[in-house]
Amino acid sequence: MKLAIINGSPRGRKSNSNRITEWMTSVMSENTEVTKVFAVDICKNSTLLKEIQGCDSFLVIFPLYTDAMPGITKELMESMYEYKNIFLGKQIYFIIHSGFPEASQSIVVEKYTKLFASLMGMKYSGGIRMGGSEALQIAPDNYFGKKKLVYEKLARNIENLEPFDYEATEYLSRTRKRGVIVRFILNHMNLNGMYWDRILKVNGVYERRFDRPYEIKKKD
Amino acid sequence: MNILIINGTPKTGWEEYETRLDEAVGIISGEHDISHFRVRDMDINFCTGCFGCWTKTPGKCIYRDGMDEILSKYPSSDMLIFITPLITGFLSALTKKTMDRMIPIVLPYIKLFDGECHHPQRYENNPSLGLILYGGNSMDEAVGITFDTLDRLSLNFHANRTFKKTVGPEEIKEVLIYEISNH
Ligand SMILES: Cc1cc2nc3c(=O)[nH]c(=O)nc-3n(C[C@H](O)[C@H](O)[C@H](O)COP(=O)(O)O)c2cc1C
Repeated sequence: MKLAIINGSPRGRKSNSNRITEWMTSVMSENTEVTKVFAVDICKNSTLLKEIQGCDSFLVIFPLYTDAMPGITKELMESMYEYKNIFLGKQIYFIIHSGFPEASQSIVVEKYTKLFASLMGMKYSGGIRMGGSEALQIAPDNYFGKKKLVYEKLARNIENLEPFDYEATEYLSRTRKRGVIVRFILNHMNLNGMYWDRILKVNGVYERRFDRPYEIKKKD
Repeated sequence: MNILIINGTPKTGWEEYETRLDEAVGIISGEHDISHFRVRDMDINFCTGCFGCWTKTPGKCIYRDGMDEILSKYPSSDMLIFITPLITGFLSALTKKTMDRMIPIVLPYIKLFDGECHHPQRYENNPSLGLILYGGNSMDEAVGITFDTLDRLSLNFHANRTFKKTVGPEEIKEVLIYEISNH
C-alpha cells in the first residue's frame, strides 16, 4: 500500500511530530511505500502535494498551537482542499499532540479534523490526541515505552487499511488524572519553571524573563 | 476605548464585507481608538516553533515583521477582535498564523488554572476577545467549532469576556457598535 505522511509542524523535519511518525514507519513492512511531505515546504509550493497523488491513505500529524492547528497547518489544509481530487474517497487519519499534558485541550480541533475529512470527501479512519508532547524534545525513546508500542500498533492499522484500534486510541488520547502530589508539584514546586529558567540563564536573559517589550512606558 | 482588530480575510471573495467593515470602522473611530490590521496586506511570517520569544528575546519574537506593529497595540487594548470568513470550515490560515504569533503575550511557565494547565500572562492588561465570522450560519457545525476554539483561546489568553458572532455584510456596523458599547 502507499501511505502519505503529511507533517503539519512548523518545525518540519526536526519536529516532535516527525519523531512520532518515525516510530510508526520504523515498524512498517517493505510493502508499504511511505511518502512524507511537510507543511513547511508546501506553504512555499503547494504543487508538492502532487507527490502524494495515488496514495491509498493519508496520515496528517500536527501539534496544538493556540488551541487549534498551527497557521502553517491550516495553510496546508487550505491547499489540500484546492487539490481535493488527490484525496477524494481516500482514508485519512489524524494525530494531534499538545505541549500541555491534558489531551482534552485538543478536543475542539479534533472535531474540526472530522469536519475537514468530510469537506474533503475523505474517509475519517481515526484520530489520536496526545498530551505532553514537548517532552519529546529532551526525553529518550524508552521514556515513552508503552506509548511508542501503541503507535506501532496504529502503524499496523494503517498498513491493513483499517481504522485506528479503539483501545490504542483511548490509551493515547485520555487525559490522565492528576493525583494530589502532581497537583502540588505543579502548583508549588515550579519544576517546569526550573526547566525554562535554565534555558533563560544559558541564553543570558534570565533577568529579562518578565520583560514587557510592547508596554508603553508611562512618563514620570 | 482602545480596540485592536485583526482581520484575516483573504484578498478575494469578500469585497462587500470588507467595504462595509471599512465604513463601520470609519464611523466608530470617531469615538474609539481603533487599530485595524489586514493581515493579507502585511508581512507576517508563520511561527517556527522555536520558543525564542520566551527564551531568547523575552516577550518578542526573534524575527522582525508586521507582528511588532500588532503586538505593540496589545497591552493597551480593551478589546481584541478577530475578523475572518470561514475557510474550509474554520478560521483562515491568515488569522491562525497571527494567533500563533501572539504567544509572547504569555510567559513560558505553566500553572494550573481551574485544574487545567495554562501559561500565566505577561502583561497586566488582557483585552476581552471577540470573533466576527463573515457569512456562516450560527447553526453550522463549522461555526460551532470555530466559536468553541475562541472560548478555548480565551482561557490561554486570560480574557475575562468573549463575544462571537456571524454576520452578513449589512450587519457588521450594528454588531461592532453593539459589542463595543456592551464591553
Ligand atoms: C506558538 C505555539 C503555540 C502553542 N500552543 C499550544 C497550545 O495551545 N496548547 C498546547 O498544549 N501546546 C501548545 N504549544 C506546544 C506545542 O504543541 C508542543 O511544543 C508540540 O510538542 C510541538 O510539536 P512539534 O515539534 O511537532 O511542532 C504551542 C507551541 C507554540 C510554539
